Amino acid sequence: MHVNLAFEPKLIEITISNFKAFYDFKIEGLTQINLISGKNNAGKTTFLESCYINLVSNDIEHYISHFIKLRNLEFSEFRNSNNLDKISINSNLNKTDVKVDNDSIIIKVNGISKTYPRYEMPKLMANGTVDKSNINFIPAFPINDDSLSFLFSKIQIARKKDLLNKSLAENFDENIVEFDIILGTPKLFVLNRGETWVPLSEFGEGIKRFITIICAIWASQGGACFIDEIEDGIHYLHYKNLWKIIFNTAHKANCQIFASTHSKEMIESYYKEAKSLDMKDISFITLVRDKENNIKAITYDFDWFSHEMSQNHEVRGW
Amino acid sequence: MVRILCEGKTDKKFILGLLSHLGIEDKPGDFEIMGCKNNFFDIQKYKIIIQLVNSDQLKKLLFVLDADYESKDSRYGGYDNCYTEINKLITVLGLADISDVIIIRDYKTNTGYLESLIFSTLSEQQKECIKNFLDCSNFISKDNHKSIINQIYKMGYPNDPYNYEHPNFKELKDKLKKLYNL
Repeated sequence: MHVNLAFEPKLIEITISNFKAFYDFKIEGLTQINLISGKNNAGKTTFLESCYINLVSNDIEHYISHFIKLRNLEFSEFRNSNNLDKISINSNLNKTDVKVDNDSIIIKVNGISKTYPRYEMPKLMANGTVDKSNINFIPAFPINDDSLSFLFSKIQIARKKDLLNKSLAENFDENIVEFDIILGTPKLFVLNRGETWVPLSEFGEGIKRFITIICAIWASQGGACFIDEIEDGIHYLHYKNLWKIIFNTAHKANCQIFASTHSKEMIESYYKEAKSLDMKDISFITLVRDKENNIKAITYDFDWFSHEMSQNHEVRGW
Repeated sequence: MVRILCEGKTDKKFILGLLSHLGIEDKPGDFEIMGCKNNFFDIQKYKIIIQLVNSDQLKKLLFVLDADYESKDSRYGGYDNCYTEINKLITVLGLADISDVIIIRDYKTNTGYLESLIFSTLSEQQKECIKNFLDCSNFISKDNHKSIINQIYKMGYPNDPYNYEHPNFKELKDKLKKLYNL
């Protein structure tokens, strides 16, 4: 079956209102690959979460599955927990609102509104999760084996396992020639350790992160992949290769990427690799807080990013 | 955070030296090299600076422009034109409250550029020697003229290239002190 992936819609702009630390936030100019930086507590993870929630929520069922159920809609999600202002996350793709009052929860997605009594919240939470399979979120903390298995199954379905193995050999260690899940355990076939399968747990977190990212991009074919604190566990010498693989894989998988980072080396590698591969469809975003403590985005397209890097400007936020 | 907008790498290098003389070190990331004087007057060049100012990330700006010569550029050339036009632009950009301007020049003629300012800090005898040399040479373009003055200066003063205590550097020093709250 031929699937034309070229016209999948991408997230280009998004507004976030009253969600956690985001009061009245707007960003435009998102591209195929987006790297987000900013100081601690600048809202990087919440920004990724907001984009994720918006992308998956093309109807109320998905919105409940991915936002209300997964996050339990705690009152802390609302920026002002006393007032419970309406949380709105709107983009060029989907428009979502949720408002809670004394008796009810009102959810509106893409113009369709439903009101649920507050006492039905536990029932909503208990509903099965609706899978939006080509949009995936890799959190900052280490991923568990079940999640890795799930993502790996996607790369098997896409029949791209060979590309993953090639990437491992080329970018990590030429003796690592194959990754697989054997009897539920992630393992690597290693040439210089007796040509045998070695549990992934015997290797550092870096290679697991690397495998997770590649699998997640293929699992997100025609969709989007979110990677929080992309540098986690990966040695800085591998950053350039990581970006090379992300750029190439995202292009082939027609996957939009959103990654966050604290690392100056990661930002430099992102720029250098984008320049080297002539990848112009990228953006760099710095999240900052203004004097009213509101979160704002400084958005750089490739040309401006290139300009800022050449001028040696600090782009990680102040 | 502050930003010093200057024309080229030579200006940046000179100002970094002056900052170091004032005890302000390690500020190469505070500069925006505009590339040429005309770029100062291109609103598109301020896209990121305006975002940074609006999000309170840049709190002060210092525009450092060459006066140049009115005879060569009737719109932006010469101290008066340059000062008037850059302030007009700063107002249009909504940056007036956080911006300061210095027009680099020979203070006697109110014309020229960084090299003219540096040249103006030499003794009369030294100036005469260099002037005679330039008059006898065919280096008439602005860039060649700048290079020659630079080179002669470096050869003449290899160990202590600039007399930062000269009164002609006072305005620039004062602007930099104000920028960094000294």
